[in-house]
Amino acid sequence: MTATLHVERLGIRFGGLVALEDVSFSVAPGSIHAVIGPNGAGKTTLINLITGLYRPTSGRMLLDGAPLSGLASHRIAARGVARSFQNTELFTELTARENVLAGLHRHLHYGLAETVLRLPRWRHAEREAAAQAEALLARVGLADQAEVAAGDLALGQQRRLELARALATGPRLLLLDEPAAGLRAAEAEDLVRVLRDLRDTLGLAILLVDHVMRVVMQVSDRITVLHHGRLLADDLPEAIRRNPQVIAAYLGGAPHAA
Amino acid sequence: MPRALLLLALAGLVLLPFQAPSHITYLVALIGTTTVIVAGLAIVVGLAGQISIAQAGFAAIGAYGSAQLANWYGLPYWLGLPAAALVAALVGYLFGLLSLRVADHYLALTSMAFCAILQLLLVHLEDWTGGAVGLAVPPATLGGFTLDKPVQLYAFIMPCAVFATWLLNSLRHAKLGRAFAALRMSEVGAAAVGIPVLHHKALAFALSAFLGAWGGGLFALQTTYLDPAQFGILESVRLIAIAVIGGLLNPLGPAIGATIFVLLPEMMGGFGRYMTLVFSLALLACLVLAPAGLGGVVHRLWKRA
Ligand SMILES: Nc1ncnc2c1ncn2[C@@H]1O[C@H](COP(=O)(O)OP(=O)(O)OP(=O)(O)O)[C@@H](O)[C@H]1O
Ligand SMILES: [Mg+2]
Repeated sequence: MTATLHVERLGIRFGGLVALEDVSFSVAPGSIHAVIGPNGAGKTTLINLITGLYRPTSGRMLLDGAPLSGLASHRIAARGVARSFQNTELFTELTARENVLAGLHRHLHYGLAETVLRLPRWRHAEREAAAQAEALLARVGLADQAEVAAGDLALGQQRRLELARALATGPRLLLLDEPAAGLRAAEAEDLVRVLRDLRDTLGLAILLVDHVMRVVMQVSDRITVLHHGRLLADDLPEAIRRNPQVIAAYLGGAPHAA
Repeated sequence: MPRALLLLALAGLVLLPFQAPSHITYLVALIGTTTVIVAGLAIVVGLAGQISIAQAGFAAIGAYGSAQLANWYGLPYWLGLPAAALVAALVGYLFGLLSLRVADHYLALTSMAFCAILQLLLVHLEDWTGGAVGLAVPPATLGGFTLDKPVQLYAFIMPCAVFATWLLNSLRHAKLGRAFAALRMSEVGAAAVGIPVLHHKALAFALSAFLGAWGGGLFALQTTYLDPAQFGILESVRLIAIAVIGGLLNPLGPAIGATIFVLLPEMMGGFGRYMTLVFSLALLACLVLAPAGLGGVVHRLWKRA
């Protein structure tokens, strides 16, 4: 079976700084794949490469076997890659519902004339979108916050809203950048449940970047470890936990180590 | 309640020319014209968050374009005006694509330069524009009738102003308006959900230019004489001031701002020469005290009531 995401000898440098070098791994369909590593290891950079925010200086990325390299961000999103951001990138003045509706942008098919004249095509599309937004907000537990401006939500809620907005695009690959950071224990448990649910009911492949080992070890089907921009290990969670190199470089000293 | 008020205002607009003296009708139509031009700014500056100091230039394209299409080819306004506005929209789209190379303040400066260049062209391409002397605008005709009375122009202009306001309102409940708002707040966020950011910035400029040119064409019919001095950077800045004072994110903002800016000089009589000062102070006060503009204040009062 072709991997949902296949990263091959990927590298990028910023001036003299080598942020990623020679990184290869695959995310299997319908799996949760964690990428961990110390601060500055290149995890966010990896997500920015996959989503077209950065151009790789070497290597390539394949989504279901088709190359992603060189495509603009919005085209990569159209291929079915959605993401969240380490420091959320919500549309802060829009309500939670409008944020999700913005995520549905590509799935709304009507023009400006139909909007201005309030024709049935506009009305039906918007009504259906509103129902979808409602369902997505409920899925992440924000049904009651639909009318609240995204910027006024608590941090944990903003993270969940960003997840709902990402899901609205209808992805097959979801990239999450530290969704558990700063969450309370109960919220982290919720997150674990939501991630499993997305994998099992929607069949999503999820690439999860996080430092919170309790979450990572619970949900991951496979784990890739980055260190100084290089691949340190790529294995099953149990093996990663026992890997002496990983323990020395990351797990041993990490504050959240399980 | 707000809906009833709006309907009342609309009824007032319909009845006004039957009751009011013609110079009042003229002034209200001038408010209408200004509303159309400023509605364009509400889209590009308010919704999409791209500062444009080029709106007077786009108004010039509509004014000179529709006038010369009538002068040269005898093209009636109901064809010439849309044609000029479409050309302006195309120019606006291409200008918006520049945002790939220049962003934020530099884009604002570029739009200012664009406006200055257009004005220079108006002055120096004398054979095409009448140059610094100006250009007489032929009156609009409809089936052999000449439309030049204030009431006739009023009947043509006010529906355009209502339409522009309706367009702003519609954008709030549509993918296009949400895409504009999204890219204003986070370009990476917008791109990440599949919104082509550059295309939508250019679209915002195109829509803005279209409305600017449409309003400019209406303005030409009202003043009957075009002078390049009317379409400079200062006029662009005045239009931005109207947009800001009216309220950038309120669909009624352009109409509110235009009403104040058109009526105030009339009521000030001899103090008219201090207008620039008054407006500068008003703009300053607005930015400090009511960043959402007067439209925002009205909105808050409505909510409280
Ligand atoms: N746009 C950029 N320009 C220059 N250097 C960058 C850029 N983006 C990332 N880097 C550098 O690349 C390296 C990897 O950064 P990255 O943000 O990917 O780390 P990370 O693994 O996500 O760390 P953290 O756990 O702190 O989020 C860092 O040294 C960072 O300074
Ligand atoms: Mg990071």
